[in-house]
Amino acid sequence: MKKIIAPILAVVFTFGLAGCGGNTAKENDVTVWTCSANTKVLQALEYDGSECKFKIGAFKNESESAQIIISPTEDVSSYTVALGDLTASDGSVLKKENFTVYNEKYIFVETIKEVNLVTVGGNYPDALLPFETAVEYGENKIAGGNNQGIYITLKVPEDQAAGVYTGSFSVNVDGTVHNVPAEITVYDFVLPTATNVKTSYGILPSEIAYGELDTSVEMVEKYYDFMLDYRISGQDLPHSEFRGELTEEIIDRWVESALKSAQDERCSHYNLLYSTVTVSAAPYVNRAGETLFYSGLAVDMDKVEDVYDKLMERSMKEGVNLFEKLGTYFVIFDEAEVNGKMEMANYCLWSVNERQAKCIEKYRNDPAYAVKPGDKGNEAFRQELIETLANVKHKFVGSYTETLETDATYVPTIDNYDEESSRELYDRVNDESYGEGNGELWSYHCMNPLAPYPTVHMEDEILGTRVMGWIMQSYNIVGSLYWDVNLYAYREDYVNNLQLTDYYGTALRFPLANGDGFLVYPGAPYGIYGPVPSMRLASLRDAFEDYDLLYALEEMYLEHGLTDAEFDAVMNIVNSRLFNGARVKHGTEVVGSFDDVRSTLAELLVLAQQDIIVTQISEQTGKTTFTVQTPAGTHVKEGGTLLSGAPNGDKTFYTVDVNRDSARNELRLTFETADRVMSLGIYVGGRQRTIGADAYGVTVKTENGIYDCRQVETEEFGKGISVVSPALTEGSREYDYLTVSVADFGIDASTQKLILCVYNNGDSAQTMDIYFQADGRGAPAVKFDSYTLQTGLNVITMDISILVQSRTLANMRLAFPDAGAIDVTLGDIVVSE
Amino acid sequence: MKKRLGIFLTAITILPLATACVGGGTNGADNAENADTLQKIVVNDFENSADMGMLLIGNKLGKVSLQENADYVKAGGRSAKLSVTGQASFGTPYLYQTFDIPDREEYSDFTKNVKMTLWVYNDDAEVHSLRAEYRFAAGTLGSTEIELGAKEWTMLNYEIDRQYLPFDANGDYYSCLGVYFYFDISASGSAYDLYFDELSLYRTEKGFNKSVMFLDEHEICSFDHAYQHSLLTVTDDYFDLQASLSISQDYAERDRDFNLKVSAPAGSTPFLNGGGWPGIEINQTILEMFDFSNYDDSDEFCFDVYSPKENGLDYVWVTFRNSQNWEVFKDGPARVLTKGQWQTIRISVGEINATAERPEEYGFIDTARIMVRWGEFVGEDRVAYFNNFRMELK
Repeated sequence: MKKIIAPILAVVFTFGLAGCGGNTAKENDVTVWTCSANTKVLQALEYDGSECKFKIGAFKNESESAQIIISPTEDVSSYTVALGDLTASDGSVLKKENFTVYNEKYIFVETIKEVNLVTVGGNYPDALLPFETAVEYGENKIAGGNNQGIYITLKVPEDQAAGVYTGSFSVNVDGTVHNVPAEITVYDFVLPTATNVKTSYGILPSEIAYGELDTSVEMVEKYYDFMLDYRISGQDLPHSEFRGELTEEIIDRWVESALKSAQDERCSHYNLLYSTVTVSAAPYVNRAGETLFYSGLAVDMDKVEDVYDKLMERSMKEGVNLFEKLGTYFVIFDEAEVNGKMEMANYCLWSVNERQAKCIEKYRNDPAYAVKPGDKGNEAFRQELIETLANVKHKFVGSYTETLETDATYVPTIDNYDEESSRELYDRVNDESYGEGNGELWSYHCMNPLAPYPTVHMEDEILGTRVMGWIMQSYNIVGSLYWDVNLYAYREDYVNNLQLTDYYGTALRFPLANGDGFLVYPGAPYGIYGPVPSMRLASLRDAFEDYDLLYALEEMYLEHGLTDAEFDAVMNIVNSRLFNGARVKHGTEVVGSFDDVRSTLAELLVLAQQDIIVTQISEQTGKTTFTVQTPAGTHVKEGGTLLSGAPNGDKTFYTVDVNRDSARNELRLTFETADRVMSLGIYVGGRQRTIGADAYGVTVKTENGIYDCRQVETEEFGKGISVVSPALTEGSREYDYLTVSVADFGIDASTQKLILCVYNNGDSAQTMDIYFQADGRGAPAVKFDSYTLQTGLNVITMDISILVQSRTLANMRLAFPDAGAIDVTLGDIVVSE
Repeated sequence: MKKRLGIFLTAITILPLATACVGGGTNGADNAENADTLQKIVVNDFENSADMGMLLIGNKLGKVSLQENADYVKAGGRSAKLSVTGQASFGTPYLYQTFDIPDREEYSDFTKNVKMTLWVYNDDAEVHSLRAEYRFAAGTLGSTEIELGAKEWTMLNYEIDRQYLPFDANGDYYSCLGVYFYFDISASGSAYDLYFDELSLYRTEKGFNKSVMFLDEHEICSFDHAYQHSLLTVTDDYFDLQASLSISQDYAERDRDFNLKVSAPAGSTPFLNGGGWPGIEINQTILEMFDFSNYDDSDEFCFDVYSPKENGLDYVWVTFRNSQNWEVFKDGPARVLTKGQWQTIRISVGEINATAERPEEYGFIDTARIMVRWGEFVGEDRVAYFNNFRMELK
């Protein structure tokens, strides 16, 4: 049992027994304890509730949460929570009014759908009912033996002074008061309200009507506005709903709604209003330039033009760019390839591109669209509008397919970004549609993928939801699409809605994934006007807040002259603690280290504001080297020792090595300027061991190619293994590979990375595929990744932490699929904890 | 206020067998006949959020909430207030009460339920109509419509004619999922309030005889059997376009050859501008008696249709849904109707199979529901007569 629940327990196991009981560990058989918001505490599992400090680290203008858990052995008939103001050492006060207290409601997960996780069925916390409502409805009761979570969210005022605020909260359980020390760290950086994540999340009016028993547009607006507070923009504007003809009146109403959203900095994106029409033998052109003909249901392009015209006119009149946040998402060919609607998709996407171009031409030349008296927009603004319209992108939801014959923005599921080669593919095809560097990467999630990819599924670790933001920012995925936040029905057969009679009691509403399709609950059963949030929604907001913080950091780094790639290289050491490819790292250690990672992010942001930048991090055998750039006059200390840097103009560069000789190794620096002291801590990993090229064996399996494989002395890195094969004139090396036995490398669950040095002696780049094979007879070799070996030295860092969590590795296979000559030398292999 | 007379009321005037469902409203008092021999089960007394959880609304009904004003309460301390706004282009507003409640099988077991009652108060100065329709997985059991007098309580008394309950080919009963209530949109265009209280079902221990349902050779639906009248329904995509159905002998070419008269209301949008696809449906209960596997590619699915010169439908098409997940696997093509004469629409099994949306997955043999549809139109209401859905061997 302990083993099964371990991944869920996260940080709570790392402390001794205590709980929040005043002077005693337990009072009246009740343990009150705390944990972060990145942990789901199931209702009926036993936890070693030991941590007793309500801790949050948050940026100004950010929402962050943590939990207080009550675990009684006997029934509790009533409990309440009392907050207090918190104070910093300089006397600043963080008012209790900035906190919102929720009572966690539990939802039963009968069958585990996340088959890749080690977890159990049971009552999972999800809905966050305002605490006063829980009291009003008599839900502040606990059955003996159960846990009850209290979820407390802090929204830091934008003008709150940075610092550490302490004080005390209390929980009254059947008359016994349990004090809970509170410590809030407010970081000295303001999270912008405007978000850089473009979101397109379905908010379905028909299902709002189910749950709220209210079909009014005001209720739809309430949902839309509510989601904006969670940094999520609805798929459709709240005035998009219509049936029948798309009339001028409906378009005007929608444009009014677009105007409101365009001016709302919380809104990042909205999709074009459209209607459908049946066309017959309508022509369109494929990539080969052939004219094809389509008959069937299609987007009505005349109406598209009508809407564009209205947007153009209204933009000029108001001086507000209504095209800036605009995109299209024509749901009629959603997931077109799997639904057999590629012909419709090709016709509609080609047509909308054509019609958009026609509109641009019209707005450029038609006097009707010149600046009019009374317009707030001038000629320059008019030109800006036209340029913006040219950049409006059209979503194609699905993975890359050669059957998409026209320009579009791919929206694949997020697991499609797992491999570098796949990320490059989407970068390339989106740029081909919209111009070099102008393509946008989007992703979507639904019942697929499953963990370890990020999900919003009920039994997934909730940190998996939050890490989605980190993965997206790391790979420049700007868009996130989700099909429904308010599925208030059960879609038994994917299509037909069956009624839910208890909206708070059904976790599986769409086949194959608990929690898929809903992130909120209807407020009506509790007399609340509008939706009730969930822990998963709160975590998604955390994800997108983190995205914007990372985005802000990247912006500052780019302003200091770093390239995208250099920034990525710096962040990789931080990100690698949370994810690998698009796979979230799961387990106790990751959850426990998340606060540490956020703290590093905060320090990097605060330092960047002071022009202190980490310009380079390089991992070498046995050590990690950091280069930090500071303004002149900054004193840099490591462990109290003043470091000497290399001045260069008005900047000074410091190079610091962190040896990888301990179980935990981290960079820890202090920066002193004239008026403040700042710190930076970056965890770099555990101990490293080097396996020399003369210490590991290579066996060769070859059918078509001929590998000459032998030990050599190299100038580049001493001993090596030379691998040479002539160019193939026929056949392939599909079934040829080298096997490196890694069974004796000491790889275990603590291993994070393998680092392989390969020297490409050839004149051109060479592809090398790496596979791993687990121990055991007949274990298949599973492809890990594909690498492009540039000429010269290549250091390949493989994050195998997920791979080794549940299996023992026996072999690593290297394959060279290209037909050209191979001349590479394998060097040392570093095993990094 | 549109009147939508269900086919049942018409049917009972023609065929003695077709007693079907009998519905109606009673002003003022509960006169449930034989109440002493029936067990009354209050399904929803509209007292708390759990009661409200049994409801769904749609098509821009408006809002439903609990209220405590005793003037609008018939039983207990609360009732449900329905603020009916509606919006013409969204179709007929509806409220759905589920009977599919865990551990309350008696709600959905209509083999022992003989009627449903509901108290309704109309707080408007206008008279309104209320239509109710039971919903089964295999279709409907007909509907009933009552008038709601202004400023008074009316009891909806909706009987269940158990002889036509749907059973599948194995003799297993399809339980009743719930009941739809359809509301009119106020003639004045303004919102009005209704109050619902005490929705009850009445159980009996008395048995019943199932109607003997049979088909002639190669017959799918001839409209000559009473049960076929009861189990037809309009499609439910666009409630404002729902056709009125009645059994007729208009244009009949021989005695006692009954056909289906479809009176289709005009809409607000021509089909080509994105209008709806209303239609009629031969539901699963009827089709489960038919063996679709007996036919070769050359055999033809046929039906006869008469479109009057003066006000007939212009065209129709046939839609087939599969038995696995009810997805449409064959839709169209549309057939233009020749006005003023009976004509036969034919589609060969081979054509259906060859042009199915996913021919490798579904074909004619998988048919579970057949719909005849037409495109939304504007102007005057239109009419068409359908007869003799059948297979012809070639």
